[in-house]
Amino acid sequence: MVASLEQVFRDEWGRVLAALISRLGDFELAEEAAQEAFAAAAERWPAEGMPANPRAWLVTAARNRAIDRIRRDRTLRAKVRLLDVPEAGEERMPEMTIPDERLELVFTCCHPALALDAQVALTLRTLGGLGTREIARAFLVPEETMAKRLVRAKHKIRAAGIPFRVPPAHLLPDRLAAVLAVAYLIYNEGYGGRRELSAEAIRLGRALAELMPDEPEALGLLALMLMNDARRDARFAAGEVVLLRDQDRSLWDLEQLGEGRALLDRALALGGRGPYVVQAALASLHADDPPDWAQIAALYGELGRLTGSPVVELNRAVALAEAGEVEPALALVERLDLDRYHYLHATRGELLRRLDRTAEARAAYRRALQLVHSDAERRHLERRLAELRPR
Amino acid sequence: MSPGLQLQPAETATTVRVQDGRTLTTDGPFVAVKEALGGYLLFEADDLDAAIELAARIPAARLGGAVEVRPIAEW
Repeated sequence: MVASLEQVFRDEWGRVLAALISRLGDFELAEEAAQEAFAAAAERWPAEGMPANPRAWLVTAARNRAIDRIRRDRTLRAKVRLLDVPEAGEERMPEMTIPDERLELVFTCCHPALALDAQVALTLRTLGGLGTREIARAFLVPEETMAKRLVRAKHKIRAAGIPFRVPPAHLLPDRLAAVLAVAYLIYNEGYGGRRELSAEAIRLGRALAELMPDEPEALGLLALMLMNDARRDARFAAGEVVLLRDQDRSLWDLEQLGEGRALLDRALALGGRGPYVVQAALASLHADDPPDWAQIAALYGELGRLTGSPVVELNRAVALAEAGEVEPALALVERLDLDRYHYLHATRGELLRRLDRTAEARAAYRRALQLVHSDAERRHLERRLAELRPR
Repeated sequence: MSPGLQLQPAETATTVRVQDGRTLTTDGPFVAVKEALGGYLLFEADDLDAAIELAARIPAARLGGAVEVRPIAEW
């Protein structure tokens, strides 16, 4: 019972909060009222049984508490709109269908007038239902810092008048990109091993794909995260990074990989060719055995055109080399302006080694070692360098 | 409009710039405002999105400068 109650809370938090913000027009009041309603439910449901419609119960209970609070606080006269709503007892359940307003909620939380770290924290707090302490721990900042960040963001939403709505068509492309970027940033924070964050990002991605079932980029992002995450158990062995080609495929979550590929197919069928769809297509191709490197290189070329990122070009060079075109790959690497990036030098070292230019390869690996930060990657580079010595 | 109209604190500010026809929005005040405050305009807008769209039409926003949007304190 306790576990299932927690599950209901996690699942319902975002929708209940979104419904309340829409009705109350005030983030903080909505959040406080929602918290009180969830606390009341935690007290009453185990004894009285779960109501037939838990969501309606929670929204009604929270709304009644918000009304009480407004009545008590006369300075909040601006909220009269709310008082026009006839009062209803929690038992009578006036609202049986609560419209899903989580999309309005996530677009508000990811508004570009908020700092990116605030967008991330607010999205995890409201849509994800994470507590301030959990979010603080996940981003390795003190709880007080995170609490301030959240309070400030909520204050700005109200004071500056950030609207609670899905943006109109002319603003939608940029704003959608911002929402997806927040989910992907959370995922990437988790990629280095903080599994709870990747799981949370996937949960957000599922909500976004459910809320925007015809938006290829939302489907592409979820597909990308699912396919990368399907390899989570194979990516580390005894604390060392295991490269894709050396991974034990029996450790891959094939069901999740399949789910990602099905989503990718849907995104492609909808005409999706945006950066997340292309990245998902790349993740899918990488999981093939053996991978079609020529096609991977071509897709990196497409992604490079979409993003203008030299890091994508570096990946294209690696794919070209795997496809057998080592010389063109080296020429590409040497054109890139990424001198401070250790992967550039590590890649250059590897390409030079394949071309039997050992002395230059050694110098490139040494340069990579000067720039590397992660111990696991340092050990990997040192092994590559040591393998060069005998020649 | 009355004299002594007061702006809300800097933490409610949003800075708007236009680059290559795209409106870029950032949280917080325009840091160079001390050195180069070019002017002060009062607009009424339904919400922040509408205010940002108005700000983006001010020439300074696309001529390498920035427009800081701040709500007025309401009493």
